[in-house]
Amino acid sequence: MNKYYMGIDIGSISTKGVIIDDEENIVASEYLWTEADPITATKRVVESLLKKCSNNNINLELYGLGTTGSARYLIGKILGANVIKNEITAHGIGTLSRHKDARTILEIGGQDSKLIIIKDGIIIDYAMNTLCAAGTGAFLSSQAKRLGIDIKDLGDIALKSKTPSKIAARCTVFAESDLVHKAQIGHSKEDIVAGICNAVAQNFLNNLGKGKKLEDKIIFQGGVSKNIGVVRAFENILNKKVYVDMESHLMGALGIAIISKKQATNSYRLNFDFNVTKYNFKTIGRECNKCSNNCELVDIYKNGEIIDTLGGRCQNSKNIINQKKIEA
Amino acid sequence: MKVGIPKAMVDYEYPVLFEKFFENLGIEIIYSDNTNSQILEDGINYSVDEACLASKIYLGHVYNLIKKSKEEKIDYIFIPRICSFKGNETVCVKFYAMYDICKNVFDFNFITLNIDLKKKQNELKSFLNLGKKLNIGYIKTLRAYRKAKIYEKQYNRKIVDSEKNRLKESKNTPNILIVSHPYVVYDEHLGKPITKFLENLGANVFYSNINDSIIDKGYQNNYKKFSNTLYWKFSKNLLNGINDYIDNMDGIIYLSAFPCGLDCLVTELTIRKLNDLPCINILLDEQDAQGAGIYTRLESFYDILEERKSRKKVLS
Repeated sequence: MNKYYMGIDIGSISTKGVIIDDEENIVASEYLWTEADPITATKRVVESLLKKCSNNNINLELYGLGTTGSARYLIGKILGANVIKNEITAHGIGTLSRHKDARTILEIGGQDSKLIIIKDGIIIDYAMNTLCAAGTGAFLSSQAKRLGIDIKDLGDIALKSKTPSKIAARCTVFAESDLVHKAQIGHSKEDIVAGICNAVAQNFLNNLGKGKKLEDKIIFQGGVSKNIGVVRAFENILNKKVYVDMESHLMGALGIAIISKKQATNSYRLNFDFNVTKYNFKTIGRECNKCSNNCELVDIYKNGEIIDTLGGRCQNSKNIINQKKIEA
Repeated sequence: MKVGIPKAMVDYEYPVLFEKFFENLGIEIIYSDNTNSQILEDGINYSVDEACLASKIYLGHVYNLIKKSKEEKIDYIFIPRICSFKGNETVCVKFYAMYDICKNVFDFNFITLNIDLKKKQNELKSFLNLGKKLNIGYIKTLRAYRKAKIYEKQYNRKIVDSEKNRLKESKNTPNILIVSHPYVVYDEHLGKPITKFLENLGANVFYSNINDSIIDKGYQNNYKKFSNTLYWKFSKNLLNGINDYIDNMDGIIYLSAFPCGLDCLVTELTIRKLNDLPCINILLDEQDAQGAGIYTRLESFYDILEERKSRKKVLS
């Protein structure tokens, strides 16, 4: 009997899922928009993964399930994951499984960007952007909308430019006024788009790359890596080849699947409910009111029954679940 | 008589001295509550928006005491004014100003103690003046101060020894040094959730403010390995601590409250001089820690340390 492991990466913009076998080959994968509803997005991802498996006549025996990304706790509870891990470790491990000689990982996602430095096959350092989302996927998509361009075409348009406009992308708000200004004084659309791509790369390296040595081989991943304009911008600035994996968008999900494989007990099959996509999950936010901290809590209901509460600073929030269980 | 002490900022820098002094004089102490969201919110409302998070929290604590005084009849709220020490040693200006800020913001009886060596007010003199203001005799005040001072010494020795024992007995999991002002790292709302999270992951957490230099003057110049010209007393202490712990640590977390002027210089300086040890710099601000991705950073930082440590073991 083959063993399979599932990894789900729920990002702010997109949700990714993979199923791998014992040799860490991807047997099924899915990528779709989160649309600010991680639960529905996850259901759709899981549904599609299961469908793809049954189409390929795979008898799915799950031994591990991991979640990562910004909604990892919520989805981890819902799916009953055996491992919930941060996206930095997941991305590092996912990439290392495909590129053993990787030294630098550039990752730009929807709302955050990360720089991961690897030495001798382990992550030794990382940097992550702070609260501000300037220079990430969200910035690119809002600017694409402004210019009336489909985000998918952004890269190809940027490549047409010979003299990219200089745009300051340190702050999204400033960048936008810069952009309007450049358009009004007559810069062509291609030049502006190329300017945006350059600005994203420059901003990334200024913020995260300061003081860090970016060694070969450099891997670029995350949603923005699909934008060829940004890839070229990185190559021009760094003067080095930047590799983009065909499956670069799945690296986080792949990484977490591998981590779940490492932590899974071999003899014990994961108690995964294949009907999970048919259940009705609901989350209700409330304030705790038990002390002056007033934590914002989120109750997770499965078919009307509370299964967990997230977001509390102390044990007070947990007590409620126990009480409700007793009442029921 | 009842004296209220806000449990924030300066109180963490002098954890027992003031408390014991009042106790020895038979004065009852009312503490403010542990920092919570309400205190933070009140503090933000009473502060100018550019003040640092720690000082905003201080005002929240003062307000908390004023609310308490309706039931507990607090006579004074004690807000020390700490300015200058020997040589050119000084502290953050927030410690200079806090008494005057509170006097201007709140309508209450405040009492202060002024340690300002440049104005010839050393610690002893300032305590004697405080006694005078409280209408307590010279001898009684002096005796209370001496006793408190002895207790402080014993207390410091005890915490340093217990930390050293903890270091000796620390398990195989990574040792993490937290370089942070005590009023940030020990605060229930700011630092405690972070240290608790790290300990739950399995880390052995150590604090650079507890080090040999607080019990032995001979170690007080260790900070010079990082900078010769530093003049902030509390930052010097943290650097002395780094020097004490560094050989046994796997990683350093710099934790500071936004916007801390001292930390933004000292942290940057230290990171540049210690470039072979993994470190992260975490800035805490008014945003809830859970929302700002802080735990993602901490968890991945811990993963790195763990991986490095197990790798080291394999190689050796």
